[in-house]
Amino acid sequence: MTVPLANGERWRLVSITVRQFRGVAKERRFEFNGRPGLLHGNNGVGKSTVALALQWTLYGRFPEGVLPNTAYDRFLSPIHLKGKPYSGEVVLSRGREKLVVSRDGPTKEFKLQIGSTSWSGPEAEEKRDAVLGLDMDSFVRAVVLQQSRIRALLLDDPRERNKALDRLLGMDTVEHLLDVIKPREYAKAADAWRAKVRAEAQRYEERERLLAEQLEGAQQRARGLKFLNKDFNPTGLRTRYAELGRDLAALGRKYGLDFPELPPCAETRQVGAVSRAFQKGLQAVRLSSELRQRMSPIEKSIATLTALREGWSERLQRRDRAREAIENLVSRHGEEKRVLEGRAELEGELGDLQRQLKAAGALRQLLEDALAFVEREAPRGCPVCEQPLPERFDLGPRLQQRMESLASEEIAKLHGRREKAEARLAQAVEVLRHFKEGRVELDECQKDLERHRQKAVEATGGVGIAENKVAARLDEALAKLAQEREHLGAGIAAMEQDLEAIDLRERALREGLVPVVEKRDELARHEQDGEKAKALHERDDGRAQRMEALAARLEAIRKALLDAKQELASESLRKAGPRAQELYGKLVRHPVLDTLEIQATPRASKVDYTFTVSAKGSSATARDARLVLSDGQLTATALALFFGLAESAGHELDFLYVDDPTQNLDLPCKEAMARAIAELSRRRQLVVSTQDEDFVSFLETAGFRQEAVIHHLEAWDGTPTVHTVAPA
Amino acid sequence: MALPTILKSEVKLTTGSGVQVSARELEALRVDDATSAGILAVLFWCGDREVDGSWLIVDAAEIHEREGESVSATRSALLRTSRAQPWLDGLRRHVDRYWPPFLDAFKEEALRDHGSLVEELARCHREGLIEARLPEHRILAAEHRATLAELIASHGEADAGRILQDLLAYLLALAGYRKVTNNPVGVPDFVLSDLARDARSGSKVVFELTLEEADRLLRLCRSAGDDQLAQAVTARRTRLVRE
Repeated sequence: MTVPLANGERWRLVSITVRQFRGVAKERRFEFNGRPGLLHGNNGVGKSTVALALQWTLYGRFPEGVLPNTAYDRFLSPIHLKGKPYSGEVVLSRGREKLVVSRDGPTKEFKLQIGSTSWSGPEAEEKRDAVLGLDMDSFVRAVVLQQSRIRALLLDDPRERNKALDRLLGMDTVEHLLDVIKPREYAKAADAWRAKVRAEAQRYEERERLLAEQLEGAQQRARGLKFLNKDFNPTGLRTRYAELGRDLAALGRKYGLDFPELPPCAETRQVGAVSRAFQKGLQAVRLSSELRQRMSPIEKSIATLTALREGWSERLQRRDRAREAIENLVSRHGEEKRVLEGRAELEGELGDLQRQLKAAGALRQLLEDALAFVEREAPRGCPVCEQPLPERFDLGPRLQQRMESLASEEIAKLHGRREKAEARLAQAVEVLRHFKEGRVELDECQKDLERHRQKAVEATGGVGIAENKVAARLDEALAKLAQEREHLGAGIAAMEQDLEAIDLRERALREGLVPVVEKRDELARHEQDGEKAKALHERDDGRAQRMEALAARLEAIRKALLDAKQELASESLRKAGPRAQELYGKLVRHPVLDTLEIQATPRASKVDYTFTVSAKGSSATARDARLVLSDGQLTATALALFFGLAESAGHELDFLYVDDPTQNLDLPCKEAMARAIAELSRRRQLVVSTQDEDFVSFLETAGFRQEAVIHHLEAWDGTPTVHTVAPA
Repeated sequence: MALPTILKSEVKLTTGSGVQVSARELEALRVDDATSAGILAVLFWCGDREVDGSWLIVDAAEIHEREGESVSATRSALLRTSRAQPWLDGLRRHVDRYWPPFLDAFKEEALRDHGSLVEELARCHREGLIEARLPEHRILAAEHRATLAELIASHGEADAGRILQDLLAYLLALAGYRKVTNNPVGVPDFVLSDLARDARSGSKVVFELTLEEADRLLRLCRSAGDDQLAQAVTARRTRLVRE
C-alpha cells in the first residue's frame, strides 16, 4: 500500500504491531499509513493496548506514577498468557524515509532502523530522540492526549492543577528542581545554629550568675569569720595557711616543742593534707608540751599520796577495831589468863564427876549382881561378908531399893553436874578461841599498818614517821603537790586556750576561706569552659553564616528558575494561545464568555496558572474559568489548550494520538470536537481512539472518516477482533 | 615587643556604644616623631559582656576629623580601626595581659579615693614595686567585671573615668616607660616617655628555668647581693606562676 504523505517534512505513523502484548494474545498490526486513524469499539476490546504499545515500543517506559509498584512484565504480558514474551514494532515514515522501531520485552532489546542502517541499545535510544526531536516526557505531553491528563486540569486543588499544567507545559522538570532547592531549610539551619549558640550562651551566663551568687554567699560567711576581700583567692589562702603554720610553730616553741613547718597550701586540694598536719601538730603540743611533762609526775605523786592517805586511815581503823574487840572480850570474860585458869578448873571438875559416875556405875552393877544372886540363891548370910542375915530380913527388896535410889538420884545428879561443867567448859573454849582470833587479827592489822607507814615514809621522803604523825605528813605533802599542780594547771589552761584559738583559726580557714576559694575555682573552671565554648560558638556562628550564604544563593537560583519557568511557560502559552482560543470558541461555544486567556503568573515562590474567560477580552468581564464553566466546558477548554500546545510543540512527529477525548462532553460539544478534529486532521495525522459511537458518527459527518483508516474493534476473546476500513 | 618611644594617650570610659573625641583632644595626640604614638584608649561598659571591661586601643593618627569638629566613633568602627593597626598589637597584648591583675592590685586604693590611688601608683612606679604587687593568681573575668562595676558605681562615671585614666597610665608604664606625665585637666590625659632600652629594642635574652632553678637563682642573687637581679627574677617568677 502506498503511503499517502500529506507532509514530507515530519514523521507520520505508518503502523503499530503488537505481539502478545496486554490485550493481544498473538500478533496484531494496526496500519495507518500516515493517514488519520480511528480506533473505536466498546470498552475492554483493546483500544488502550494500542496506545500503550505505541508508547512502550518507542520509549520502553511510562511517565512516573503511571504504574507505581507494578512490574512491567506483569503488566504488559498478554492477559491470558502470563509469562509469554511480548514485543512491539512501530513504523514511521517521512517522505520516502522509513523508520522502524522495535522493542522486545523479555530481552529488553531495542532497535531502530532507518533505511538500511540500524542501531540498537543506548545508541538506538539516542538516535530515536535525535530523529524524533523529543524524549518520552515531551512525547507524552505533546503527542499523546489522554483523559487522565486533561482531568487533572480540572482538579479543585490548585497545587495539583498547577502540577498538571506543569506537566502539560513541560515544566515538571523545573518544578522538580524547585522542589529540591529549599533555601528555607538552610536559613532554618542557620537559625538553629544561632539559637543553639544563644541558648548555650544563656545557659553559661545563668550558671555564671549562680556561681557568682554562691561565691558571694561564701564570701559573706567568710567575712563573718573575719576574713578580708584580699583573702578570697588562692594567694590569700596560701598566705593565711602560711601564717597559721608559722603561728603553730611559734606556739610549739612557746611550750617547749620544736615544731615542723606545715606543708604549703596554695590550692584547695592541698587543704586536707595541711589540715591533718596541723591537727597532728596541735595534738603534739597538747600532749608533749613541757607543762604536760612536768605535770605528769605531780599527778602521779598526788595519786600515790592520796592512795596512801586513804589506805592509812582504813588500816588504822581496822587495827583499832581489832584492838577494841579484844578489849570487849576482856571486859566480858576477864583476862585471857583468868579464862584459861577457869577452863583448867572445869576440866578437873569434869574429871571428878566422871570418876564419881564410874563408881556409881560399879556400885549399881554390884547391886544388880547381888540382887540377882539373892533372887537366885536366897542366901541366909551376906553374900559379901558372909555374915548371917537377921531373921525375916528380906535382902532382895532392899537391894532393889538401893539400886533404884542410886540410879535415879545420885547418878542423875552426877550427870546434871557433868553437863553444866561441860557447858561452861565449851563457853570457855569459845571465848579463848575469840581471844586467839582477836590476837591474830590485831597482829595482822598492826603489821599492815607498819608496812603502810613505811610506804608513807618513802613517799614523803622522810626517815621515819611516828604513827600519830603519818596522816599529817601525808596531808602536808598532798597540799604541797596540789599547790604545784594548780600552778601548772593554770599554765596548761592557758596553753589550751592558745591551742583552742589557733584551732579555731584553722577551722575558720577550712569552713570560711576554703569554701570561698573552692567556689572561686569552680567559677574559674566555668570561665575556662566558657572560653572553650566561645571558640565552638564562633565555629557555629561561621556555620550559620555559611548556611545563610547558601540560603541566599539557593534563593537566587530558585528565583532564576521561577523566572525561567514563568518565561518558558508564558512562551508556550503564547504560542498555543491563538489555536487554544480558536478551539475554545469552537468547542465551548459560550454565548457570553467567548475569550479564553491562559496565563503563567509569577508569585513569591511559585508560578500560578490562571484560566480566565471573558467577553470579547474585556477585563471587566474576566472570570476564573473554573467558576463559570461547567465540567464539560472545562474539559473542552482543557482539550483546546492541549491541542493548542500539541500543535505548537516543536518536534519531528507529525501526528497526534487522541485517546477518548469526549468524556463529560455534551452532544453539541462532541459534534464541535469532531469538526475540530476533522479540521485538524487535514493538517496533520490524527489518530483518535474512542468508545463513543455518537462521536464516531460526528466524525463521519465532519468528514474525518473519508480520509481516515478505521479500525473497528468489534470484540475481544484474548485478541481483539478488528474490522479495518481504509480509504481507497 | 617594640613600643613607641613616647606615648600620648586620651582615655575614655563610656557606658554607651561609642565615644566622642574632640578636635582639641585629637590635636593633642598628634606626634611628629615616627617612633612615637598618640593613642585613644576606650573602656566600654555598655552591658555587652564580650567587650565590657577591656581596653580598646587605636592609633589616633588614623581617626580623621573634619576641620575643628569632634569625631564620633562607634565600638565596631574603633574595633575595625584597631584591627588595621598591627603596630600597636604589642601594646594591646601588654594591656590585655596585665589589666585585670593590675586593677586587682590597686583595687583598694581605687575604691578608696583618687588621691591615694595616684599617690600609691606613683610610689610603686618610682620604687619599681608594681610588678611585684600584681597578684600571683589569675583574676577571673567575673571578678574583674565586679571590680569595675563597684568602681563605677561608687565613684560615678566621670570620676571613675579619671581613676581608670591613671590606672591605664601606670599599666602602660609597666611595659617599660620610666616617666609618667599626667594631665588631670589638660590634654592629652597622659604622656609616657623615657622608654627603657630593653623595652625600646625589644631585645631580651629568653631562657627557660624550672621553678626550682628559679628559686636557686633567686637565692644565689640575694646571697651575692644582686638585689636588682633578684627583684627581676622574682617578678618574672611571679608572672610565670600566675600564668
